[in-house]
Amino acid sequence: MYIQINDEKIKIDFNSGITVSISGPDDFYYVEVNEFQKNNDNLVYVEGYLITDKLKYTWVRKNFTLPIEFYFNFQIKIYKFIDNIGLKPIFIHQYNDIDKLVLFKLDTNDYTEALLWTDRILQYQKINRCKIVLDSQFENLNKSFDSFYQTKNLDFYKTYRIGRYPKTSDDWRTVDPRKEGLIWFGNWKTFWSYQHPRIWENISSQEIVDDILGI
Amino acid sequence: MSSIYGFFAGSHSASTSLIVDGEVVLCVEEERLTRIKSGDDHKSYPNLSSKSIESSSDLKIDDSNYRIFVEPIPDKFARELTNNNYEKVGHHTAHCYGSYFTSGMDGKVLNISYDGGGDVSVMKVYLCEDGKMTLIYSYDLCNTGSLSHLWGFSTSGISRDAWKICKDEGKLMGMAPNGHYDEDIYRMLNTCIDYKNFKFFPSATATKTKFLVESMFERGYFNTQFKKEIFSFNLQKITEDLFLNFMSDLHDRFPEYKKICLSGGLFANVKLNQKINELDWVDEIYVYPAMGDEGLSLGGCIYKAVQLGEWTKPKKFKNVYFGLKYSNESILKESLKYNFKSEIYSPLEISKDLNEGKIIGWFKGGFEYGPRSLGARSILVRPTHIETHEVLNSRLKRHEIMPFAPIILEEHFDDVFSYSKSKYSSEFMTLCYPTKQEWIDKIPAVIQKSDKTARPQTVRKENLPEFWEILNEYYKLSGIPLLLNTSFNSHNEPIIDNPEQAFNSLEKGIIDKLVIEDYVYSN
Repeated sequence: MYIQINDEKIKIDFNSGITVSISGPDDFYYVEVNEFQKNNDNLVYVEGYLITDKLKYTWVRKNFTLPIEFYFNFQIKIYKFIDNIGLKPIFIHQYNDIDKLVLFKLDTNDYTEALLWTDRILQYQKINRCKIVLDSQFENLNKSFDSFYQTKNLDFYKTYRIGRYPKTSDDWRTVDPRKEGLIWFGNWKTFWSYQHPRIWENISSQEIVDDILGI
Repeated sequence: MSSIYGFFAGSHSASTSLIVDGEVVLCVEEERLTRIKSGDDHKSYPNLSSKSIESSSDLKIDDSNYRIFVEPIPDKFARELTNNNYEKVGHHTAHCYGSYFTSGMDGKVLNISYDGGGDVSVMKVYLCEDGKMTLIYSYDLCNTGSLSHLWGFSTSGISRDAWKICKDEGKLMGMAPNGHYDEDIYRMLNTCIDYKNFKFFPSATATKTKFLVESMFERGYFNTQFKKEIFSFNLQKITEDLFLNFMSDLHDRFPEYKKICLSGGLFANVKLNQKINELDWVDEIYVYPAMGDEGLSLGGCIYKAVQLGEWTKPKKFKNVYFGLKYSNESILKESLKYNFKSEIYSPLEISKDLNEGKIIGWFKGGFEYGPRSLGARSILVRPTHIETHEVLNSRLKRHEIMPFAPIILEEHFDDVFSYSKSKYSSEFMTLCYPTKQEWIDKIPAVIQKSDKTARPQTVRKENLPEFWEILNEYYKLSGIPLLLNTSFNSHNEPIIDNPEQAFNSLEKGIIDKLVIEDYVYSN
């Protein structure tokens, strides 16, 4: 979705993790994602860095991306630099899919599992009150939601991929760039894997979907 | 009784330490052996340091009783080095055990560690008494601001990455006294870090500071040296203001705790340490000599020794010469590769050289543990001539903004400097003191010219007899109880380790004479 705030045009997208881009007059903007955690009054920092839409700053990224696809209660905050003032927040967006179209892609060829996962998606809908669009190998399941017929060519607020997406190593120095930066970037223990909040082997099919949907 | 190996391999400042039967045997920082400063090498493991300690101590890692790794831990490396037989200690736990149990402090002690992170916290605070430590505060990296991050990213940002995080922060501290308060700069820094009611905020100081300083760079805030100095002044000021507010809150809550132990990279800031030391309610502060992450391997060992009941109360270091030693025989063998003149070391003759303005390399015993040259690998010069700066900076290829520090006879400390508190900590050059007016013009080479402070190393006869002796000879000759003591290394190099490096310095003309164990060499 696009948002215009004064001279800044902001695009946010949650269909493949979190992506933010900004075009505006400033050289850089600072984008930060924080999490609201249960039983924690403090906002917890997840990731933040500078982005730019100016080609000359080759060392600054053009988009903010955070490849966490599972549910977490987060907030995006964008700052700009003001002379003699410092950092000023210009945009805050809290994840909220009430009445919004959310695409659930089921990565399973097992019909029984797809049924179970669909049931848990309905549970997610009860909690979050979103509009469900289902994408699975099973046409009858996909069509069981009214939105199947109403949402052609529309943007989704969020996409959840539900399946088994493995993490391959426990050695932070060699594999996981997030852990490489643990001196400077927090919360890496919580977000052990981008695709799944914990190691999915040896947990049940329901736990897999519940972990991804945060229910 | 036990032998304990400690290791730190958490991205920078790798080191290895060994204590046996509750006594420190060896501590070696990896950078001394790799010859790459730890701030330039964020991927180092304690490979060479662990091997060198095995070789020097004749105790294999596998044969030791305990092997301790301090967080963060590269599991694969730890498994391979120890045959998967090691214990873990938290990052700030090791910092705090290292500082308290080497502080020599009795009674109630506040023990604070503060750095950029390590075990997902940036700061821990313990209450200590009678060898017991109770954790009262732990500040999570994810929801706490960090003054260390403010410094790290200011350092890299102000120089467009020419200066390195965990290495060059001292340059900003060195520039700070030449600047002045600027309300706008201070306010801008304040949007990256603030403090109130036991909390530093906002979180993500690192990335916010990077954004702020990069933006300021683009808008020309650092395009003259003076502007950089103004920024540095305000960086130092906000650090002192916020941390002293925190100290004040701690004092309000725990008024009976008047002795302070400090560790973690933030306390490499000797100016901040000075301000803490000058607080009326503070009786004494002690800054762990290896205050940065290089000190963690020993901290980890001490933690284990305390658990085993082999280290029960805070002790005092006599010195921190825990590095590798070289025999006269090996030195002689090395010297044969050069055509130097040699003679037996005479304190009187060297003091005459010093008095004439000669630059003397000083190499004695095992090298120091921690970032300072404290009389094992030092360069000594008379403190009385300001021109010394130019000569030293030229020979050592150093930046002119870095001040030089003095060593002083303990007996004369109070003659030269104000505030007599925390002399034990000053044996390790960890805090600044104001210089008394009557001495400022006598020792210009070791006084910060703007704020008239110095970062002295107090030399006690019983702890450093040879260092004391040369200092005393110079005093008898000149009436000045101080010498300039700077680290024995050129710009961007770690402090030297071995005789070969010392002889190379002499050959290149960096020093005029080299005192090495019992001999003096010259061209």
